[in-house]
Amino acid sequence: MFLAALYYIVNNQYQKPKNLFLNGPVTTLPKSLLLNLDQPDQDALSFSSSIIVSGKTGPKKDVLISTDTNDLVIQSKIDGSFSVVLDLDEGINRIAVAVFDLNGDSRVAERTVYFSKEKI
Amino acid sequence: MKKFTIIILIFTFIYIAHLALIQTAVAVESSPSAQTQIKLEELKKEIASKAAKLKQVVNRKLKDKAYIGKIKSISDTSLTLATESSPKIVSINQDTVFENEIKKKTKLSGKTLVEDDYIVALGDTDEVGVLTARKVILLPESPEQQKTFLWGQIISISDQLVTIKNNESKNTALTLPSGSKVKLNNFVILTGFKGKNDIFKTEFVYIVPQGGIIKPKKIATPSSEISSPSAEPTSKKAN
Repeated sequence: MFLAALYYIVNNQYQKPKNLFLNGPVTTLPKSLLLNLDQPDQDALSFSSSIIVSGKTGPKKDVLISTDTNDLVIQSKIDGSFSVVLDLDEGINRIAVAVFDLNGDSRVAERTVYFSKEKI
Repeated sequence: MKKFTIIILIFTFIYIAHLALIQTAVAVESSPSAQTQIKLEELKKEIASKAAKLKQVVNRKLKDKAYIGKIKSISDTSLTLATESSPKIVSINQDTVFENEIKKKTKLSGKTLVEDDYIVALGDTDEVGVLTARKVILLPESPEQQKTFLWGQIISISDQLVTIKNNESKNTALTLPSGSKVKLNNFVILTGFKGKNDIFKTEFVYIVPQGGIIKPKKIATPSSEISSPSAEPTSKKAN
């Protein structure tokens, strides 16, 4: 009886409205500049000479990726995602990722990665 | 005898019909619970799969870490490091390997490390962030000057110096690397170091192809601070 009641509640009582999202998603683009850096993790130890730097920001934004010896600017995709393979120096690599909009507003995320040639 | 056979047949039919009814009722009753059970099983599998994936992510995040910083306190079994983000605890044991990158031939051990030594500890962390060191490397002091970046519009170019204006209308004088092809009014992203006399020493130049916008700074003028009689509401004037 309990299971039957549970089934009824799950399947009949709380039916999802069928016209949900008919007019598109209800979310709107954030007005302020955002930057989420997914990779690499802070304090990561890498045994590979290159790593992936990836994250998400606004669409078509200039993304600066800077280390002590390497600088590059890429543009985020239309969905705001960006990803690039970055060469590492042996030892400490301070990676700064900055995103800019047309007004010069910026957001920065920093990570420190240690590259060891010797696998320990 | 014929009557008896008919009665037997009727009873048999009623009995079969009764059995069929009971079975249908049982089937009707058990159907929802069976479906719920299937749904619960599916849910269990889904949760287990998500938990396994989450565990993998957590394990990946805890494995192969490097804490870099100055030793703030030291004991036989642990070190406390002042890192750029927060203090970190490093656990050392008999398996920890020590390496001296300053003097490669000098042997290093946990006992020869002292406070303010700049080190990197390599290993795995636990759930509370304590790193069990597989290797500890003594490093030369970290450079004090940190690389930084600028964004702005080029407002003047001379033989030796270039001046840019940022989005807060602040001007910065800088030197460019040789071969840079910037023009007046270009919007640029630069990386480099703050040099002497606040002159920025640029290492990397990126000309923003789509340009930029520098909004004029809003400065309150005395006339806008004090409202003039003509700025008063019309209704008030009419009174």
